[in-house]
Amino acid sequence: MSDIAASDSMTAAPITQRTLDPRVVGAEPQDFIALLKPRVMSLVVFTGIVGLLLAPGHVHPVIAFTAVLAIAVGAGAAGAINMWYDRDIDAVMSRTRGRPIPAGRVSAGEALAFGCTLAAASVFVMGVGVNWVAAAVLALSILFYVFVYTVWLKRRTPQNIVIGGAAGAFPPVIGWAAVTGTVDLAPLVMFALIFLWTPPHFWALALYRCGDYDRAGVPMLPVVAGAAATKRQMLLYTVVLVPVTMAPVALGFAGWVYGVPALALALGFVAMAVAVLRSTGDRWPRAMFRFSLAHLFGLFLLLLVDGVLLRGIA
Amino acid sequence: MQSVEMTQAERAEFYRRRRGRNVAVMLALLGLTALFFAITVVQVGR
Repeated sequence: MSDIAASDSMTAAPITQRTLDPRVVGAEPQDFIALLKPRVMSLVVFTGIVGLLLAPGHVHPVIAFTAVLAIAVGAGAAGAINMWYDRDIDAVMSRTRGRPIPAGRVSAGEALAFGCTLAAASVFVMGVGVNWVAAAVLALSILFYVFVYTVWLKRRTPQNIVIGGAAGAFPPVIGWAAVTGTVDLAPLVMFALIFLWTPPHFWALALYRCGDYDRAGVPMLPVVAGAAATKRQMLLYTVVLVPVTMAPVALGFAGWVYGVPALALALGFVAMAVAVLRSTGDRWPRAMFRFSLAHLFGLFLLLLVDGVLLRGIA
Repeated sequence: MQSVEMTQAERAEFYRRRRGRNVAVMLALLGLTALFFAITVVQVGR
């Protein structure tokens, strides 16, 4: 669930702390926070909040806070379990070898126990404090991320991120269900937005981290099919994303305040994919990765501005 | 972890980090308690 957005940075302890063996002196509290993939969590939380605020009906601020907290903790828990399972490949990838487990700051068992406890607690709190529909979708997203993406697909198929990306698309559905107790068409469109955005986002990263994935034996598309085929696939997904971006307008739950700039963002994403297709080297894939983060954040911010501030849906 | 022979610096760092983890767990439990109290007040008030 938490791999909605890949993090392009290493998590490393300050130099002064590395002089002491972490296996002897133990973990810092921030090592456990790092297990939750806080950078990835931020976009998960934001899209969940948008789903919650766009949903028709009223929810008490305490209940809304509880829902957002449960989404955040559930996403973090899935990330911690993912780090436990992937600790062998994390140790050989430069992007991830500074993470708490391969760096020796947290033991594998501690990370697994931490992740499982938080996953169970987040679903329980969501169920008791908010409603059991939202809790069920939250549980589904955690289980999907851990078992379907991490355990089953990631090391087996270059389509890992296409199918597994669904895990990161659940937060707006959970936010919506927290208010309404149901899953409707509008949150499913938001789900589709994230689902179709995920492959070009991840493949942009994989293009310039190809060596890392190759060494780790992860069959990302650039490793298996090559850069050219990956770039064509990225362009295809960005093109398909254009009509899906306009679906909220067509279905009537967003107006042109969302529609016009969202169309510009979607066409900008296509233009980036074309630039990546024509380019060699890392410059454009890196630019597209950064743009993709701003693109998704922008789309959901526009939905929020259009729906809540201007049209007063909530 | 404690059975390992530690230097003085490592021992001091071990205690500092353990205290940090304990404080973090305490804050999490207090937060959870406050959250459950607030949820209960809201649910009862409905």
